Amino acid sequence: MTERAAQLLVAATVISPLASALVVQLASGARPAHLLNIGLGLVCGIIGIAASVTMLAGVEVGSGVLMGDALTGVYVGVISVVSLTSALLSPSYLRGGSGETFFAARRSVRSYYLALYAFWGALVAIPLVANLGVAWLVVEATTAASAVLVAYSGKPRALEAGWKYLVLTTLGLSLAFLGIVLVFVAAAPHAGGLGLLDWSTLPEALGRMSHRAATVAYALVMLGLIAKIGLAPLQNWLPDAHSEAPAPVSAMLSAALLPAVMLLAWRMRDAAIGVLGAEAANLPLVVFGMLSVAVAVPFLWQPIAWKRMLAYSSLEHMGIIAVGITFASPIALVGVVVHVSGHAVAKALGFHASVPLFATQPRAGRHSAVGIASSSPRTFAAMAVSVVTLGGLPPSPLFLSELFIVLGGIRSGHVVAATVLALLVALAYVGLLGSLLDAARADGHGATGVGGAGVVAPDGAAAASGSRIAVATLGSVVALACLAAAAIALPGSELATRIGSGAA
Amino acid sequence: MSTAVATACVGLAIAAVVARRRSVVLVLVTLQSALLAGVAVWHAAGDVDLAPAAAGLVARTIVIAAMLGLGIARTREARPVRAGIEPMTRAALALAALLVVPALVPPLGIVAEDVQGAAIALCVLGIMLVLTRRATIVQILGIVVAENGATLLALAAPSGVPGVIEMGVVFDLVLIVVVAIAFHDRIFGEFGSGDTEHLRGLHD
Repeated sequence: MTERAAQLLVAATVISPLASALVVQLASGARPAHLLNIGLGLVCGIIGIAASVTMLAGVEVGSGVLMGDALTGVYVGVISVVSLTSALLSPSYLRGGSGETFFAARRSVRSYYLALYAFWGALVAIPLVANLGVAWLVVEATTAASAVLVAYSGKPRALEAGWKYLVLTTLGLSLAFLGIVLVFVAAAPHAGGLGLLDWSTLPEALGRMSHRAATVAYALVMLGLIAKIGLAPLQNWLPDAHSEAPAPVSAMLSAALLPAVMLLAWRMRDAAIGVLGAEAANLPLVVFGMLSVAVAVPFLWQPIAWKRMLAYSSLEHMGIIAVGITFASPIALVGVVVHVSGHAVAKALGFHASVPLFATQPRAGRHSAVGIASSSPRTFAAMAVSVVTLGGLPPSPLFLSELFIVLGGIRSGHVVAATVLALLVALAYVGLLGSLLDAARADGHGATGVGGAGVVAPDGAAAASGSRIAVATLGSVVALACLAAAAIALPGSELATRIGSGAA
Repeated sequence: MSTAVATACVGLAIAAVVARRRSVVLVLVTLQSALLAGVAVWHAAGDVDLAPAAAGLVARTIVIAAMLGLGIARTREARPVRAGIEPMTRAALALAALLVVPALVPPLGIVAEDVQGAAIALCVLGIMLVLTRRATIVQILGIVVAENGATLLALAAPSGVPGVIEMGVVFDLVLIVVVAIAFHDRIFGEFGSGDTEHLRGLHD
């Protein structure tokens, strides 16, 4: 493919979901909107996946506002696949709704799709944008679009979750903006264009600042991005938002948005490392990352609601990715990339499983699920695949990615950090396994069938969503197997070298 | 960027932290935004390249004030939303934060020290508005104050911030305020009040 064609494909990756947000408004009602969503979702997903494959194949894009290399290709692929599955499974979620939503009833479905596709468009732009300032604008736009989606159900708890998410992440991003302005003002006080903030020229801009000014600017930008990612101790909003959002939106938040913003933190770290030194530049990611894994572990040991458990699992995995980035050895970077991909598949499956789960056992929205293995085997299978993968049990690709990250940490001299990380991950796995065993066992009265543990008789809609989750589970297992195979082949490969050079 | 402008912005932010009524907080924050927009217009008079950014700041001031003013008029509270922290305590906390936080950041030699201090102070006071006040409208205004801190710093630079970024920030902030007002309306409709004390149901 020529570079020009690649540029057009990359631009289409961002434009197609934004255009779809407007097109779906032409639907005359809920059912036409669902059908239009399926078609538009497939188009946007295919374009995004094609762009990802193009970049992974070695076609680099550098067209001013947008950029693309192998590392970008990984993230675009992850975001496109997760967003596509969320779009395809949204009708199933929306049909099970109670009618009352954040939006006016007459337009609630179309408004949902408007916000979903606007979120998708802004989300996929994050890794593609070549400029820190423009990336900040795009991340703010994701906040606006996703906040209304978090509160979609209109229930008091969803309103609370959406409000906290909107206010706290916007405040954090305001700090990041202050840091960005500081870079601009300090690096080119008398003449500077937008290009000063390009990722490719940012190291030079930081180098023109005094060491003190560069440190303060870097700290502000990283603090803002870390607040948006929800790393501990700034994670207050994360479990609420990810658990109260509709399942398709939760999947996009956990599996796509958090890693995408983490990529910005990664690029910022790379831009600053030559000026501040490795120790100072890595400090925010190491401290907040390790703290996140440590904070997540106790919550994963508690019998909490399924989606809330998945949210804390996201806190853990973003912490692992953050620490893995700082290890910086080639094997650790391969681990990070595999981790982002494997986590996305498993986390999305876990959230999508909540749709049939709540249809079968409504109390599972507030309490730990029990007795699912017998009342809804397909749902339990999806939950099991998700948990086993997220826990890092072989042959999960996350077992390999975590192994690579730990080995990479040891090879790069971070023995203590790698050891502590490994121990925390093991503890987290035990907690996750506990929640799966809870879901399998009978409740205290020995009842696991209909009527027991709040299990309702499956109706047609629940049966249909059970079939859908079975297909999603099968697809996820295939994807995870492919990722595991790729993880074995990646270290030392040419693709790994290109991904690594994209990170440097 | 004169010391007087920077000081006035900080003074207005402190007053906003202390003020009881949300309409008064709105007026104070709008005055602050208008002051910054006025500085931008004055700069643009000498450099036409800065005109788009100045126009954006003026539009932002007017649009946000209008939207929040309509939001307040539409959702009359039966009684003022209590902040949970008394005004004098808030004032003391604000002054303490202003003494401590800017002192933690040494002079960076980029802009005048008082302007640097004022920019950081506005961010801190914006955060304080969000954390110490319960009214949703006031929390939105806290976000505006925090972003005014970055705007103050940008206006202190001789060349300003690229017009594209400034316009984008204006668009983003207006978008965030639109969404926040939609939340405020829903919260008010659900609870009969824009008091975030009603939003404390989620916990582990």
